[in-house]
Amino acid sequence: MPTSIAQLPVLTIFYVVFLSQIYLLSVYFPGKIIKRMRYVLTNFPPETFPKLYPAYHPGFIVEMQRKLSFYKGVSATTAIVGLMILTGMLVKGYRPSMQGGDEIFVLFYTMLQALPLIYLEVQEFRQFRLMRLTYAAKVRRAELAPRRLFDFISPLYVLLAVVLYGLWLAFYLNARGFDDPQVEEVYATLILITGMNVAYAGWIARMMYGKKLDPYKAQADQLKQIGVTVKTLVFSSIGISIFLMLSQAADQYNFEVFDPPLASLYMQLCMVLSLGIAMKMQDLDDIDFDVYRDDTASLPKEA
Amino acid sequence: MQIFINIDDPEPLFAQLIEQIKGAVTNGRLVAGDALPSIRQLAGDLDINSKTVAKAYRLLERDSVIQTKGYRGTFIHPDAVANSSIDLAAWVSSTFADTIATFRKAGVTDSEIRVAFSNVMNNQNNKGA
Repeated sequence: MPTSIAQLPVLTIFYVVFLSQIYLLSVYFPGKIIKRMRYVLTNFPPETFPKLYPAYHPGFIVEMQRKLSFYKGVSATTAIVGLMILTGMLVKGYRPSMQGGDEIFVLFYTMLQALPLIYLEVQEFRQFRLMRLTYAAKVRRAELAPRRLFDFISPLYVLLAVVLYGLWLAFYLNARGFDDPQVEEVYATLILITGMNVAYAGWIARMMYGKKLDPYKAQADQLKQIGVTVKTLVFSSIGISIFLMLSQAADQYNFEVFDPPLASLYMQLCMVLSLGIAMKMQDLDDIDFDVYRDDTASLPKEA
Repeated sequence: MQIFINIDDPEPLFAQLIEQIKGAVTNGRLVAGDALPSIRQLAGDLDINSKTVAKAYRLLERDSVIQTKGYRGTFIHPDAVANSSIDLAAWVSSTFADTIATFRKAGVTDSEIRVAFSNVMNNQNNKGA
């Protein structure tokens, strides 16, 4: 029996939300990623699209399939770990702490789930770097039109991100302030969150005005990629500000018991916003893979 | 409108950019007030040094084909159509040819012409410094 009847609905919410996190981050999204990668390997093979595989060598496909299977195995393992954690909680009669702090376990588990994704991202950047190094197109094209931030996202969302950051800043400083006994934590949080938003802005500028990560990418696909990045980062900033304010409010008004499901929901939202938007906006059927063939990408089309 | 460059073309990259932008102005694909991408954006898209694009923009601005309005960006000049047909390089070559022909007619040797040209250029550079 729960020590507090009030904890029971919170516990139920947490179990449902955590189960959803296990499914989304360890089963659903990894499954979609693997499906996409296998689709590309099958339909756009290195023999016909050599520019897509700068690191191609004999046995490459077998190696890639093996890596995908490994990634699938790691994701399945994290799902099993999550289910074991959940089962352990049920068996041991876990009750959320009224003083908060339990969300740290959610965050640790999320980091575990994120490791395979981070590995994939690193591999993707390595591939782009190799593509840039081997890029040998003699004729290069560009649109003679400026790109502006609001071509890719509504100004309202950008304004919302800025306003919510400001609101969080005011709320946080009002709650903690520079005379807080743990002032180092206050400074660290301010620097971290502000730095994160500045880094987001920097990455958006890099995507919009810097060199293409993939030098062969068609202009239309490049613009879609920029749109995905802009939306993902702006929505992420909005999400972080809201989450931090809710978390601070929970601490301030003694609702820390909601911290674990809140943290889990936030992690899932981040994943849905980032990966979900990226996959939806970059449907494989809409991407121009002809640019990776051996006999194109160097001939100018009529302007 | 797309612009393209050919790395293997003997014509310098900045000259290719200038020629295409002037050509687009002349045939109406770019009109007065049209915005151009920033130097960094165009250099990134073409995967070339930003100094190359900066040089092209500088020369186009000198010829009043484009105008830079600070943070607002770069735009096609109101008189771009008329100014695009002026070819400074061709004018310089033509004027040089006439001047050199005049010197030779007066009996000046090619060596004397080259020495005088270097001295004048050096004096101009020193005045400028």
